[in-house]
Amino acid sequence: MSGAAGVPRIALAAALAIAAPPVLSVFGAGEVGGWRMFTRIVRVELSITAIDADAPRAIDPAVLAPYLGPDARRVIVAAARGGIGEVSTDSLEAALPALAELVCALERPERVELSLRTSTPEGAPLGAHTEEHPCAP
Amino acid sequence: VRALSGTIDPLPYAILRIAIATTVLLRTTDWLAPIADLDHHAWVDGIEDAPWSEVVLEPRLRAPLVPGLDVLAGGTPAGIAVVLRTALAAFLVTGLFPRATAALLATVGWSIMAADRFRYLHHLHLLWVACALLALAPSGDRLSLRPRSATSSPRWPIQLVRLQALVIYGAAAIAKLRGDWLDGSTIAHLARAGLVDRRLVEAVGAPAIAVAAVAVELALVPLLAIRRTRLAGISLALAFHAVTGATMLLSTFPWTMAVLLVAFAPWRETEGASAADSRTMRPPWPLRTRSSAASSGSERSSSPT
Repeated sequence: MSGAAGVPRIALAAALAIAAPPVLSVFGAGEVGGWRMFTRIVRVELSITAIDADAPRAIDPAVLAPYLGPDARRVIVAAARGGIGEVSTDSLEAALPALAELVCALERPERVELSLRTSTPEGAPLGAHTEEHPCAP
Repeated sequence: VRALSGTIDPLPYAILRIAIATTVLLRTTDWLAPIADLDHHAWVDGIEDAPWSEVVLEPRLRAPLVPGLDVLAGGTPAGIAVVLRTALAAFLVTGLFPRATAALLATVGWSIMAADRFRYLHHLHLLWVACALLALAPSGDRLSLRPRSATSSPRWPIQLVRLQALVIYGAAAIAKLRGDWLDGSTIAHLARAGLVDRRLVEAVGAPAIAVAAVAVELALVPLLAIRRTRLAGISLALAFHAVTGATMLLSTFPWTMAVLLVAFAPWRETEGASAADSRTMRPPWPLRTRSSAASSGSERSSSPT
């Protein structure tokens, strides 16, 4: 179990596990262990559309609040109004498929379209992500 | 490898264990609310993430950080997990079975956080990482209900704690080397969002605060890494965390970082590998083979070289 100089291999593995996440984070592997601390503040705006037989209807993310944990509620409801976030923005983008599933279960449309737009806090566009999700019949 | 080898006084491991376990207890509950106003008291009622203190209707959003962990997001499994987390943190303070307890606490605590990706916060992740590092350390030899007579412990676990602190300071500093941080606009937005004290920003100026933060974090890496400058590094880091803790919404992050600074204090330690060192480099129990366990039999009574 020991490597060179009597140091257990787990020590070397742990050292790598400590040093790797910030590097991986820079290359887009997510914010977990990235320690970037308040440096990627963005404004995020979420819109949800339920689509039935080509008739779209907007869903206010606030109606989902009772089905969200307190942390998700804080982020998602704020995002409907263009909330400011950092790590939470990544969380929201990663959670779009799950959010679409939830809308499917609650609203029973044919499909759901979620649109996430990010901008600088001043309002300059940074990116947009659209998640189209067919609902199971 | 040489940087990891050597021996050190067992006391810092015990101090880290008690401080981290106590921080977990206080951060995941509102038990200190009657006597102190901590950031998380604004959203934690009783025990954090306890299903009986959160009203969430089914079908609830299931968005775990790790697939499958959403089973801990609510219901009976979540209730058992949060009680276990609290019990493990309390038990870790005693110093009994510290490695196994810390490993379980790190696993349970991180899993509860990862059960819902919206629970991820850097200061919570840091707490569970600190517990995971304790799982590698012989922290039960001092300040424990079952203290041992060991006069030295392997140095590699404390070197990992030091590495973790340096990585955090370094990563945080490098991430700030961008125009929208250095010109103060990010700090100004944080102040408008209520995450930084507006009075401080108005008094000092956002660009000055931004540049000072980068300068301090960059300076801390060499100051703490080089033994001769560590006391200066500890002093600067403590001042930095005191200011950021008082003026930013960082919850337990500054406190946990201050606790990790214990690893940089001038403890009695030896560097480099020797025959005696190889006896003290015992891997944690789950990773110990029969031969390594036998060869480490004299660990507890070994003297520092």
